[in-house]
Amino acid sequence: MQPLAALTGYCSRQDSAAPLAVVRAIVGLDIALCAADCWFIVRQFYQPDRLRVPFDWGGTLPLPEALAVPFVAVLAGLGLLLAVGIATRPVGLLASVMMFYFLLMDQQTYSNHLYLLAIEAGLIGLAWLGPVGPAGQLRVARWPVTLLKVQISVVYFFAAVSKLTPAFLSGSVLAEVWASDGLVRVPADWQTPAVLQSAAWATVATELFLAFALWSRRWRGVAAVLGPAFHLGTLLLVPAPLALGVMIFAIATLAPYGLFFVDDSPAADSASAAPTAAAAANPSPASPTHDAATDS
Amino acid sequence: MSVSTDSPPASPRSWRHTVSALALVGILLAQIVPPTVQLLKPKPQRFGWQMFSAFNPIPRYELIMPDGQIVPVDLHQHVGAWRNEADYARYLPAHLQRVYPQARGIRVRWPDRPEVEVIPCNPSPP
Repeated sequence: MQPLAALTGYCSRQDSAAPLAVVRAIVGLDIALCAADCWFIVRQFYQPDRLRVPFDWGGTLPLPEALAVPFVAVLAGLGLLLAVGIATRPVGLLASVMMFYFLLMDQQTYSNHLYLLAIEAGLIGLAWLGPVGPAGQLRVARWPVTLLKVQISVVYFFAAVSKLTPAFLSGSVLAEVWASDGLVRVPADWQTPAVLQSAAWATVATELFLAFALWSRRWRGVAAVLGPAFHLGTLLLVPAPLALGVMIFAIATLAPYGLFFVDDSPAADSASAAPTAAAAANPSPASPTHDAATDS
Repeated sequence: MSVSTDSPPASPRSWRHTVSALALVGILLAQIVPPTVQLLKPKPQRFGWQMFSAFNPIPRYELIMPDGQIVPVDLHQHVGAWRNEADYARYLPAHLQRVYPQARGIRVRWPDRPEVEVIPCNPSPP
């Protein structure tokens, strides 16, 4: 099969919406939480004598002060709509556009959690097909869901590779992080060079492992335990002012984990295609026409 | 633990699937290329997933007033949201000159450098 034909064939594939509906609900709530974080930034941003820091291309995106709070309120509302599954496609795409706009307002409005949520909301919006076929089952396109999974691996992979520097591996960065008051304080006596260096190497190893293990049938169970533990550890140890952002980021990163457990192999496809085709051809009131998702 | 999924019977290739295929490739490139490029720059960078990869030191700024008095600057008064990736050092001196037009100069003390940088200002007449 030619590559383009294989690719277009892959892009025609659909799956049940139920697994993505769970992700959609978590991401939606996380966007609402992120809107609160944006509100904290906005509150500081428009104070007199505050610095705007243009991007490298020399610009900032405008957002009049009068529109700032409504902007954040609308974003929170879109997050809640996404969480409950109302008009998922337009809501997801609009929330994504708004988050990208906020992200690019200037250097200070960037955050990794906002960036990740903007990508996730956009991919959820692209994936969501709504009721499909005579049976009206909620379906999602498979390719954006795959990209959502890829995104999680990309995050872990580059987080790990960017830490492969003498500065990080020496433990000096972790020493800076641990020096500030977090939810849990690492006792000063424990912050020896050996401990700091071991923790630095363990961080990189964990992130690299998570980047690949989630795709492995054998290792994804371990990853599903290690990932949340890793994010929880990070949350407890970061300086308190960063905790909200780290929590939003952790939720956004962990939300799609369940998608890795959905078997979308060709074997699973062929095994289940026949019953699905039969159900579509012969819809019955007794057969489930809606998944756990509530989208219209 | 595995949850089986299903696909509909093979559907004819359509323009919609071709657009989807192009979108898939485009988004995949957008996911991978920017963080790869950012790896080549000093850390941390935006759009690179470089969380906690490095800590940039924050300099201390002091204003040199017309009478020679040195007044430390509280950066929290001037920075809306602290970002480790943001290039504050490039924009803060000009900003401080705008906010404190009477200052004769700005002293910059980096925590990791022994020397003190002095940026002269042209104080505006009272």
